[in-house]
Amino acid sequence: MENNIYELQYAIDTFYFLVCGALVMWMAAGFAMLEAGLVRSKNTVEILTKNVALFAVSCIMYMVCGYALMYGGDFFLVGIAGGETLVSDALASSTENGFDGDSVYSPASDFFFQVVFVATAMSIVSGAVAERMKLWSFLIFAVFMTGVIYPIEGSWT
Amino acid sequence: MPLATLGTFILWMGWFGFNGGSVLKLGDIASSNSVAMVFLNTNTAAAGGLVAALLVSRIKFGKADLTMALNGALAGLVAITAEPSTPSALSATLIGAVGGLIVVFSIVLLDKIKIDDPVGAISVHGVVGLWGLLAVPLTNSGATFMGQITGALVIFVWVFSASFAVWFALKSILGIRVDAEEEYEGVDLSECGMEAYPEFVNPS
Repeated sequence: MENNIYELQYAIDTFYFLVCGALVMWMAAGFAMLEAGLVRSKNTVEILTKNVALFAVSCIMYMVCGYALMYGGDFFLVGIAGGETLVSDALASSTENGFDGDSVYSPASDFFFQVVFVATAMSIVSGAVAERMKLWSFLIFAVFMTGVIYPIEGSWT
Repeated sequence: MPLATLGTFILWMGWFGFNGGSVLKLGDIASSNSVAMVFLNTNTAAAGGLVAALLVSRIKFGKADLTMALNGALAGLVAITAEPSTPSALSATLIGAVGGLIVVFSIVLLDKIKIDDPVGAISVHGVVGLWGLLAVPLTNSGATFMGQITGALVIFVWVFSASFAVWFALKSILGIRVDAEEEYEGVDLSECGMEAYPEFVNPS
């Protein structure tokens, strides 16, 4: 019975991460529309391109090395899906933490929740340099910001 | 273009429901972990498709083509939808990226052989959808290439012939194509009687 409750707790905590992550992902759309609305119309397509491309670059770079630099684990999220012992490990960890302790959830849902914050941070940069910065230089900066700079800072906390 | 971009973001977000919900179960550790992998892979495939299409359009056309980038993101989403739970994060990104690559060439090729497809629907859904089906056996040992090809063929033959019958009947009874004049003027006025952007100056 206790294990059943832990299973449900794991499921609902994972689901909470995923749903809130999807809402934060939606902030990328919000920033894109906000910035497109605020720049002069001759800069619209470029700011839209920056916004969609920075989101994609953030997701890829954080997957490649950012998440590993920030939280440990392997590059390219190797092993994030969990292996044969996924269920028993999660149950053991839940039992150790008890009902009042830290939540136990899917590592993949944690990545999903974290990666959308990286993209949000990068959106802020795009707003700050709107109408002024070269597209490809911006995207190359995005590679370093989301792959290294943000994760190193994040790892300090 | 802002509407096209917003539409792509809406589809990107909606796709989490589309693929995540297709796991059909969440209430235990294994299922919820699987749902989380589906979210992760769906997102990363779209990102891979977008970056691939943007780079290809930069190399091929010399400019960062936003319409291609948006189609690339959708292509990544279409490509991963056949099997979003078994690939690793890296495989999902590559499956999406190949989708983004294919969609640019497919759109250009269809233009070249004069097949009319104003929004790239055949390229995004048809061609990349087929790639997604064929990519399933790469990460899921329960599927085979022959099985996937047979399935795709059966679906194509049934849907093509059944749709053809309906289209043929429609063409004989009501007609399906608008007049050349209506097409030139746009179907807003002839079919719906109003314009989407009435205050815009029309140069023609």
